[in-house]
Amino acid sequence: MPSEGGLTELRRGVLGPCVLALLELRPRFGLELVRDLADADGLLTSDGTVYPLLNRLRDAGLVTSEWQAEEGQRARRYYSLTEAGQETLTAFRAEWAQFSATVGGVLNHHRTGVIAGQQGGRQR
Amino acid sequence: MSGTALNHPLVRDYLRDLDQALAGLPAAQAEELTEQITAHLDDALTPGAGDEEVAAVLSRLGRPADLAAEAATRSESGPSAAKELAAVRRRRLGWRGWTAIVAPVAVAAAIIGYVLIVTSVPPLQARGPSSWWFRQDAARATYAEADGARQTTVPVRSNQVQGLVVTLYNPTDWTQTILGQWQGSNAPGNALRSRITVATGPGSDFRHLRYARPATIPPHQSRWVRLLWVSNTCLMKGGGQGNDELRLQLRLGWVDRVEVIPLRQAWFVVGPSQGPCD
Repeated sequence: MPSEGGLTELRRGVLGPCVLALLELRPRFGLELVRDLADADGLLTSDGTVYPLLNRLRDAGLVTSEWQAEEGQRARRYYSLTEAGQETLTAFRAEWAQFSATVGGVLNHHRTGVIAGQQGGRQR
Repeated sequence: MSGTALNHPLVRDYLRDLDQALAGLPAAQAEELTEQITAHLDDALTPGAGDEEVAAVLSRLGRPADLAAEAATRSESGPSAAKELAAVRRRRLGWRGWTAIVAPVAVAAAIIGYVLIVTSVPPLQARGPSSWWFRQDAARATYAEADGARQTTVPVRSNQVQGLVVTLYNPTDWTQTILGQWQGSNAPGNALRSRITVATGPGSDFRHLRYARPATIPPHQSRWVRLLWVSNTCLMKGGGQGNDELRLQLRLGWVDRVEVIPLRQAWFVVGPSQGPCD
């Protein structure tokens, strides 16, 4: 079983691409993003960590932010995906599909090749 | 708007603790995170929220110390471009150190001459268009002129973000880098805290440019400079608070200096402010 610390690191690692994926659909302000991420059960350890992450993504040029104010409403900072962010997300999706399939295969002993061969050897 | 929720004692305690926890971060980074967390609380809390609701929202937000630790990882990692720049600077330092050993007197003279030249160049100038940042303020702004002095005024929107943008021109042959504000806030609506940023490139549509700090104004070019603040000043009906200059910390080459830049008009917010005045 992975430790809680390990799961926390795993969440931290995938949170950035998840934020990019949400922004791919439409620009969102901070609380909107937090609530959408919180809806994905177990992904968010605390709401506040989203903001330093957003700032890191913006520094890396993957998201951009803009103040928008509707008449009669409080101004909000909306975050949106940049072209570089879209490219990063596309690349991550491809890598993630392969990575998760590999890990899933190992965890469930379904993978053919070396591991399956070793199990067969022990059984004989 | 839930200004009353932001005044809840638990929220005020939380923001105070956050301020202390972020003390070790660069000022611009700390200000930005505080602004984001404040906006989050303003959105998440219903007006007049009770202790239980406020405590639940703050608990989900996470401890201020944890937020500061998370933000600090940003400072440590930084963008790769910043690392490369730091490496170049380290190499330059090595070269300067070697030169200092070979010819210390020449280097000292060169440095003194350099500082004298840099500090004697003229400051940035407010030249060109300016505006209130938010459309709702720009729509309600009034303008007046008397005895050659100009003033623009908008109603204060208590506990909401207000702001202005001005065009600053660099009349020198040096690139000037705006590092931040000098001696606190330059904002008419908040005497303690405001955030100044600079458009990262030229453009006329100021609301759709990217703003950052530190940011540079190249020689003989202009840039939009934006000042945002959460208006928390207490004003009676007809009372106002304003400012007609920017006090900035700037870097020219290797030298930091302070510039007091007169604005072409005074910027005022007027009361009455909404909500209680502590």
